[in-house]
Amino acid sequence: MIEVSNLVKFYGDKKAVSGISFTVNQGEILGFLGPNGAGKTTTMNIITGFLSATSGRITINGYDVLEQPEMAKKNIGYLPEQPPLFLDMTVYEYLEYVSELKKVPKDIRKKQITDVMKMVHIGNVSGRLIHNLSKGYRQRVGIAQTLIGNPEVIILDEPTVGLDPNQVIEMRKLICDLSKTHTIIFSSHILSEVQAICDRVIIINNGKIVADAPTMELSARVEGSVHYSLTLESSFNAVQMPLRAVPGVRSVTLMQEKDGLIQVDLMADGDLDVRKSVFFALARINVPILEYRSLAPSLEDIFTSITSPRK
Amino acid sequence: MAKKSAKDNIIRERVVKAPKVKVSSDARFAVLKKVSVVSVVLILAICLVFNLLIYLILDKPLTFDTTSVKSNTISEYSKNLLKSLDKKVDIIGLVDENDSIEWKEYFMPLLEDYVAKGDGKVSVRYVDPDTNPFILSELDPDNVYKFEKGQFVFVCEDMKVALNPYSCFSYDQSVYAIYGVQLPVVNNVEMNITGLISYVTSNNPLHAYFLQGHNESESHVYLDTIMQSIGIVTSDLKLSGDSAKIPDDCELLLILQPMFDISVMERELIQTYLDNGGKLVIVNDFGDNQQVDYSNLNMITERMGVTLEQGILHEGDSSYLVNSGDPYTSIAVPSSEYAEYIRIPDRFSVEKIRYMSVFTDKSSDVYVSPLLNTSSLTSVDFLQKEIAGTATTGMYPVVLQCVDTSKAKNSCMIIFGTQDFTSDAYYGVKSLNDNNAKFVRACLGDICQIDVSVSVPAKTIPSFSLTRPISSSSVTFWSIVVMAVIPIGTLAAGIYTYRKRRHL
Amino acid sequence: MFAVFKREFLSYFRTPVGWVAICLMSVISGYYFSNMLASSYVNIAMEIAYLRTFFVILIPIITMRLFAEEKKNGTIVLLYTMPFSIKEAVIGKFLAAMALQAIMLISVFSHIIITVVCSGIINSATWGAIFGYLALAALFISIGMLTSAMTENQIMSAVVCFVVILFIIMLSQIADSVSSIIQAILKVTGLYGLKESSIYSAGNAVRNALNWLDPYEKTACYTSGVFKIVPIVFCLSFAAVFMYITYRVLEKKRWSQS
Repeated sequence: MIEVSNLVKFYGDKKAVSGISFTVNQGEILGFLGPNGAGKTTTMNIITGFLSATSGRITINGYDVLEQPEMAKKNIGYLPEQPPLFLDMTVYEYLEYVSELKKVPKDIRKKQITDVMKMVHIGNVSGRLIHNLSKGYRQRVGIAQTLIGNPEVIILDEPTVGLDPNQVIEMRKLICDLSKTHTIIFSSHILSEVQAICDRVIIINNGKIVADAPTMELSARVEGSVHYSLTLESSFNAVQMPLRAVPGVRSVTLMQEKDGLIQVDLMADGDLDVRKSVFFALARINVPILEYRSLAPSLEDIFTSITSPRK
Repeated sequence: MAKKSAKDNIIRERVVKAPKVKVSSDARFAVLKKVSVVSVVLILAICLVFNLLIYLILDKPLTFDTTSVKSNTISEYSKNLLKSLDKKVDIIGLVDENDSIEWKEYFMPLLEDYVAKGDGKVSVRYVDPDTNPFILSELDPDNVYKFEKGQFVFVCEDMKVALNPYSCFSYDQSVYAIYGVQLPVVNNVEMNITGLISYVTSNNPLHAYFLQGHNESESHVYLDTIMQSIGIVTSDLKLSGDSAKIPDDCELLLILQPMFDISVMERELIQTYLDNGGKLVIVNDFGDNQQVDYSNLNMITERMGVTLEQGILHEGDSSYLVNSGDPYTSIAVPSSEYAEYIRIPDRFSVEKIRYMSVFTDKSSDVYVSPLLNTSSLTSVDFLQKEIAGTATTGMYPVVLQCVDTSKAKNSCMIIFGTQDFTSDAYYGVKSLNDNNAKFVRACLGDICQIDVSVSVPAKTIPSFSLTRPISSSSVTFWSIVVMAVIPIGTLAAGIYTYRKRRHL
Repeated sequence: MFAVFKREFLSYFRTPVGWVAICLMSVISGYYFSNMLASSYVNIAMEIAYLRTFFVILIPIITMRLFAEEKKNGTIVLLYTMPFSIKEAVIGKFLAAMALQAIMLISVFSHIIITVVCSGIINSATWGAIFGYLALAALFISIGMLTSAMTENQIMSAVVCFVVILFIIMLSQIADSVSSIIQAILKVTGLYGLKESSIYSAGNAVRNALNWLDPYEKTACYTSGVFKIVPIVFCLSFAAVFMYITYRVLEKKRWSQS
């Protein structure tokens, strides 16, 4: 269990983290969502003891990171954004080094390394130089490193950045697998990724927690305002009123007008699926829909929608 | 997993409260910084103080002389001398202590040992006259001693004497001949220092004078060292001009290898000196000076029953030769009565011995005794062949001691028929550890009535020359090994590992 | 601690650094040794004293990477987030560099063997000189480690380390110039109205103080067969201090604001 209370971190005069508090329970997968520079990495660095906070308190399984760093760190496996890999070592040598650092007893060291390699599917590259591995493999070696010593909490900072789509899928699967046995905190700036994996999401922006909720609730909240982009063969005036009249549609905005085609941005409540009603409304006035696209909400949208008062 | 119930759909929004105290660098940071900086400064200071204390207290006790000849430790003789001192000796090195000087390693640790064992009676300091020019006028206000940079000055009350470090070593002449490098092989540093300490602290040092003015050997550094080590002060003396006289404090007069005869006036002065109980040492071999007619000198020696002849001793016993085939370089042995008396059973290497004939009809007040002799198969080669035959094959003296008892005070003379007991050339090669040095020490101690039974040994400097000569082919072989095989081997091993690993 | 030692030490040999350092050392010492051999005058203690001059190059090579590389690659995170103190990492890395330094003496040992084979003399001064050499190496390595911990840039670290070691090696000359500068200033300005002799003693005091700090001259005595404990204590205690400063510099990362 991780308890973070009132965490503040200054870099000079700049406040990177201002008063974050949250608790992670055993077995949870916590997504840490926020745009770049929001303070995700700083928070994680502080939790893992790489940085110390300007003020605030962090305990891991009851051990204070500042006061009992060794006991606290024993319970954490950390993969920073740039995996801490020695390129001049082979995978096995590297994991052996990490397990020595983590003071894994000598007799179970070998077995544990083999188990971990099996878990993250890198057994086939154990004898290869990390320098010669692909980005995806390197990331997995990085995760293997966090698993050595069998810590309860695993903290992953942007584990999917820079991976190709297939690797991203594999990585997500891996994290899901790990979540069965570990408490996981991982950060991302991609909403869908967090939605796909996490039980719970904490959104931070400008060093502050903007939202802290189970994923399902957050999804609902985010879907509270959905954007669609429609390309219609009509004029804006002709479609504006009929669309507004559709229940659930909040606003209609003209985005583009060209060669008798218009592109309209339509914002609707997430609670109701307006797509069908919109289709019929347009059909009634004989406006053909050439393109109908739902827009993924941007992080900015999420922040505005979350912070805007609930309807 | 602790999943939240779907009903609980309230999003917990956290309004972040601004910290109550708005500061950019908070107290914790300041404390950490303070702890860090203070601890570093404190530890640095503690370390400095600790080292200073250790240096002041333990440096000397924790200094060990690991040399096999203990060249950095003073001998029992010096220790006893220090114990018996009743005055303080100040030793001033007129050098920059921190310059790298060849002799440094043989002086500084040894001098430290003198100080350590001197019980406060010996002090050593180093003053560089370049940076501290006052020191010269302070040591020598009237500029009589003419001390200069590079010397050590020994001061005890009014007594002052300088020591040139370079004269404290014997050098390997064969290395010098080949490489032009003065390679010290024997270290007489302790002998010199102890000698000078005993000299500056002695209440009535004996004065010895070297007669100059006849192209005598100009330098007699090693002989000086030997004499100083038994407490005799040496200076040069010129007997020319109307006011010339032998000083009253002259305990011993030495005439080393004059290249031409002394003048009538000198003869008379020396004669008077001897008649008043003087002591004279004459060294005269048969080398470059073989043509010289020493009539005046002979008038002095003849009063003591000896004539310096124009002939050279020719050793006939091959077992007495130093180099076979050279009959003029041979071994001299103590005469039976002298060996008994002086207890020097050794053999001495000598060359170019002048034939000295002893009067058979000398006055009964004069006693002539040979100290060292040749073998009994020696003959004489004369310069003028026509007088050959006057001397037969037999035993001839190499060193003679003559005593005249006819006057109120006995006068005494020692004649060396060879230079090998006194010359720098000899000791430069053989060092002051040589038997000849022991002999001349004993002789001079005897004539001046000084106890010389114990002395400071000279110390050999470990010679790093290979004991077996190494052939140039093996030099090449080993050079290739150390400069090519080992480095290239390492590099190859490195490249091999690197390449092998790179493709893992 | 042992884990870090093992990794660093092996890493010297996984990368070319260690091999190059050993090769360089064997070439330098081999050159000196074969010259001695050619003159039939072989004094290994002098060779070791001579090799000390090359600390100025060899120490930066073996210490520049210790922390700078880890900082650059981000692997330093491991040291901070693992359940052990960063002190252990400092000691481990120091020992690894020392071990490499000791291995670099292999060429000297080979020369000792050759000397014995060629009937030369190996005496107590030789072993004493090795002691002095290693003590000085410990001090310089700790300095190199500190410069490496202060920067991410290996070249920068090497350059700073080079300058510092050069400064230390030249300390006795520097002490001379500093004292004469002080004397000159006091003389010219006539400050405090000091007598000329006290100006000289002031200058000399400064010089003696600086010389006392000179570890290079302090460890020169071993060559002449004098074995002193105090210079070794001096070198090792200051090595410990520099290691402590290194630890503090690394620790700074945790609380610093930038």
